[in-house]
Amino acid sequence: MMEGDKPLKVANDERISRFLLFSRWFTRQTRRVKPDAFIPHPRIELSVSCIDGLSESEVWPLGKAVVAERPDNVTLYGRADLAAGSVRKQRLEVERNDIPPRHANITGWSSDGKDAQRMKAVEIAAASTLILVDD
Amino acid sequence: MIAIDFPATMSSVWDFPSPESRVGVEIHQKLSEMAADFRSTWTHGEHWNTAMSDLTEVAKECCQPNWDGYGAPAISADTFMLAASFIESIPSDIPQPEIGASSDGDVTFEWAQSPYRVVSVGISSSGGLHFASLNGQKRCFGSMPFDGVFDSRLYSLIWEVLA
Repeated sequence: MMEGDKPLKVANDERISRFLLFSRWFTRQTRRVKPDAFIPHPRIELSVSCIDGLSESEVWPLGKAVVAERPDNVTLYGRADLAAGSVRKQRLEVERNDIPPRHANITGWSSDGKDAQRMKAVEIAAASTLILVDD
Repeated sequence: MIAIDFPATMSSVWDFPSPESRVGVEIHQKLSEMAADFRSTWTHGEHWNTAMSDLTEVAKECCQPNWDGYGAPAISADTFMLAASFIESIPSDIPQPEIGASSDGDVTFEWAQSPYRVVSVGISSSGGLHFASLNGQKRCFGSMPFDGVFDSRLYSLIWEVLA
């Protein structure tokens, strides 16, 4: 949802998802999302989807759309779900632009060094819940 | 400690989709040189062997750009070599880390007991080592150049997390 060109902020209690397209960004045995899933690059913003109000069966098509956009052969393994407020605790922002629908970016990383980015990624990962496609 | 038949061990896990991947070829060449060096001068523990196998698997999975689906650069040969040196530097009393990669092209090492007790380390092509540790409410992060020696602060953080 955009107001003109201005992205809308997402409320703290809204759920967002980071779709996991690399198998080493989670551990199946301990049901843990790894911090690597939240390291921003090459853009200094991190792509997520706003899933608040959606059922499980409505969330996965968003991830499949993310995969379909990619020219390379990537696999959707799962997603990391978290509240937008968990991101804001790290002095980052969640900005929804709806391009594509329900897409948002986690922004505010630019002033951080790689160590500070990793620290924030560790804390965001800790606040996340792992949901696998084959659960 | 055991001596490793390095070339045989590594060739079994090293199968890049060359010649498509120049990075893969470059890494392969460097690895062969390193293997010759190690074979003549080192013996290593089983955990080292396992970690090196994991590293080569990660390098294979990340040897093409966009391996993460979000536009990540391929892991460079330099990063691979630094990561191999980092593995070599890990004290033998520290458990083997989980090895991975992040979208900035770093090879990553992780020691975790739970989501809230974790040490995450990234090593980049420039030789920079960037770490972050979460142990309950206690957080710690920093960067340093990797000079081939395992950092004592990192050693302490890992044991605090795993204790």
